[in-house]
Amino acid sequence: MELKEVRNNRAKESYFCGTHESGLRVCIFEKKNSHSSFAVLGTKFGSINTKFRDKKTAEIVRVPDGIAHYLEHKLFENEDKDSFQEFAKTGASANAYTSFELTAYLFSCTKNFFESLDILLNFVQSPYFTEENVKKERGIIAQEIRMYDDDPNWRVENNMLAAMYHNHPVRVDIAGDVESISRITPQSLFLCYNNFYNLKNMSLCIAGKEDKNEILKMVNKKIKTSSPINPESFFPDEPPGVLNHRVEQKFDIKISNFKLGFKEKITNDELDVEKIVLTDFVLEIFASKTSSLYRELMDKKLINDSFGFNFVEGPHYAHIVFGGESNDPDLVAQIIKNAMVEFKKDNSIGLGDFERIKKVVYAQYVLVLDEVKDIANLMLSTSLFDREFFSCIDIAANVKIEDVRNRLMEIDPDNSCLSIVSPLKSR
Amino acid sequence: MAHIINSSICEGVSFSYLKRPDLKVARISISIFLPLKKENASRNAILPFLLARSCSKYPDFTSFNKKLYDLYGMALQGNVSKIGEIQILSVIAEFLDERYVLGGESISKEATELLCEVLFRPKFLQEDSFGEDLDQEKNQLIQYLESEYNDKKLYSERRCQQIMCKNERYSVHKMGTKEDLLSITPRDVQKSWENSLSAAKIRIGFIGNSEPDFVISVLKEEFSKIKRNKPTELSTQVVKRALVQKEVEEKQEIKQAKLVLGFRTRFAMPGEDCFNSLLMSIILGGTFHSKLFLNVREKLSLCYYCSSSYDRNKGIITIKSGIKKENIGETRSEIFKQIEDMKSGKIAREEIVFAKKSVGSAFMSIYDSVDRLDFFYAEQSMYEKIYSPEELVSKIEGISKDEIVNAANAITLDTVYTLVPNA
Repeated sequence: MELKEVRNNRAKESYFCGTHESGLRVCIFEKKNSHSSFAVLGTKFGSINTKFRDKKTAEIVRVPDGIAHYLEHKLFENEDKDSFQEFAKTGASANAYTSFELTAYLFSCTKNFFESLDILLNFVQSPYFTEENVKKERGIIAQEIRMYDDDPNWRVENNMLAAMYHNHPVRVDIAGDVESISRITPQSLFLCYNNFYNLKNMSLCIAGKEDKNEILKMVNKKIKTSSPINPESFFPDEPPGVLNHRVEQKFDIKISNFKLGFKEKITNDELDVEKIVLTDFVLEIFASKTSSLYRELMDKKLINDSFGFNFVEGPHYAHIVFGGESNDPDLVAQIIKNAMVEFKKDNSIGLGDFERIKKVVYAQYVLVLDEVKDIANLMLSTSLFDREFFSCIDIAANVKIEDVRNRLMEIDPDNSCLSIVSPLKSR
Repeated sequence: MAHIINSSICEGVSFSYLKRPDLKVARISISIFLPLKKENASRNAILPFLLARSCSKYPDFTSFNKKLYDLYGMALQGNVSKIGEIQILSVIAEFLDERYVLGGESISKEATELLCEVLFRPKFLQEDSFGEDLDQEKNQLIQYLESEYNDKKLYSERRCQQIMCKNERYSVHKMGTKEDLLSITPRDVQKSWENSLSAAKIRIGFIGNSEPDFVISVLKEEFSKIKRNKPTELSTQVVKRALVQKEVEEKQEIKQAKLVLGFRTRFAMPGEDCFNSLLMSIILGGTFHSKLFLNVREKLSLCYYCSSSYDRNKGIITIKSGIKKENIGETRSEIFKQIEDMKSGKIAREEIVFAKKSVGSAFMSIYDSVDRLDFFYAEQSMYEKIYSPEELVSKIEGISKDEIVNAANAITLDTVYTLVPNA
């Protein structure tokens, strides 16, 4: 395979990427002064991929909720060894995570990089699921689910998604629930593995002090060739409106936490990077500490430093979220919605604000490039979804104010959903 | 690798510089070291947050933040932390290095000057309307305290340590209490600021690509206007053994029970024996290949997490797990069994080698995170001997099995804390 260099002159950095004949995408960011290296191998298979066409039978199948996460847990176990034990020998720190749309296996290390890379490439390509080892994991994952059940910050987000989406599987917890995971079997794990852990569906991303040519040698040696397939996932039709406008759950806590989400228009195409960058501009201008909205909420003592916002998007779903701690989330939501209506009415994005925010958004993208962990994880999510890792930097530097104004007009303040977790007793 | 260069600004104020041409961020941090005491914890704690929200030059919150945004979103943060029985107040500035700006602006000079405005000419020295700012920050800190109660994992660990160290200053929360926060007056804040600048040990750290000359000269100039006294002595009480074993169960509306065990280890910084305790704790429960992970989680499937952590500044170990209520007894027995194995020397050579590699990697990777690197050195600056990551790795490398076993035999159980579901 050949690597091509992708250069960004503003950040004064390069990375190298290419596609192995197996279909595996490889991205390498050399950081020669770094003490540590970080490698992540990921597949485009997350908690939302529960309905797909099985390549073997050509039938459409439905697998239990939480299976991508369960598979992530089980993949560390091979027939004759546990991969954590293998990593222990090299001194690497290994881990994995499952999100709505991908599963990633990773390690970071300061020594013995190639021994660790060998282990990573080996275990992800060697599934070993038995009745016994699948059953053993159930108790562990059940306690993980319980832990999140007691976590109000986690619940407030998931409750919002369940209230916002009618059908899209993003409304279901990533780990599933105790009932759904009880239906997971070695057979269903193999079914998912065989469809989604195809190298055509995967990326290997590495950032650190290692030499790219040495990495390539190892990839060429270790990657098993298989006939490339493009897994086909199915998502239910999702109505444009939210399912519920408000949802509340009581907890044994002292302060309420909220998420206010604005559901975005859903298209079947994947979003382009420009839209993501423009949304960052709109949100910063609208709600950062320089905004009149923030000032109003702060002066009324309705928010604290935990207040924040972000844009969340993935296959067939997209929403904007504002959230934080507050003693009166309903009032916060009302003020944000009113402010959004007013903001749209005047479309009052001034040139001064725009130029200021441009510097901030641009700097945020550049500063990501300081840590190998952030670089590798971002390269993974961009490469799996066919985006170019550096593109947001130049887009941010070249954004036009009209485009930001147009993006603002797309947000629908009425299509919102407020999720609250609140103390058991009123205070 | 460039090494840290230490110099002095004035009596009790040190300056550390680390040149890092590879970074896109520059960071300047001010750490103020004070004894942690119940009577003034809250009024000290609020100080860095008040400093970081405005200054005399930019008294208005929004215009102050616009200034920060003009500097490419320079981050200016107040923070308070607790290291042993020492309270550290910090104000941290992070900004984009000049090589990466879009229009040739000179950020670092302006950022340094703004940081000085914030530190030396705070709004509360002249504004009469400062009461509103104070109220805002009181509110923020009270909500911070309340949000800790929301996090059951953190809350149960804090509760265990609080019960365990009830009669030691360690039990004082880094932000004090809600009542003490509410009672802070503008005069308290001014006194706390005066005391911090004149009588506390202060450490200033600068990591980045720019040369430190400008930062040093500006700071020297500012501190020359302040009458510095001999810095307040700092110390942490280390209780060597648990004398009475405490057991406390509390109930809440939750789904998962939390079990937290607090141990005295006998050893703490700056004594070198504390590295033996550190390695012992890592072998017991510090990694995915530790005794607790492999047995309590992997073998018995009792939990998702079961781990131990060692606070080397206070000399205590905390072991925590989240489990089903009915499994508390079994989990506890298994944890004690693993500790007994450590004490009787049932530790495989591999376990020691793996743990050493894991700690070594963790220490060396500190270089790759600017905030961890800065804090690593700031935290140590209250001791005479300051270790580099390399020196710590070689300390850990040299530890023998006997020393690990001795460290295990030195621990005594002080407190068992359980938080259980109501139903």
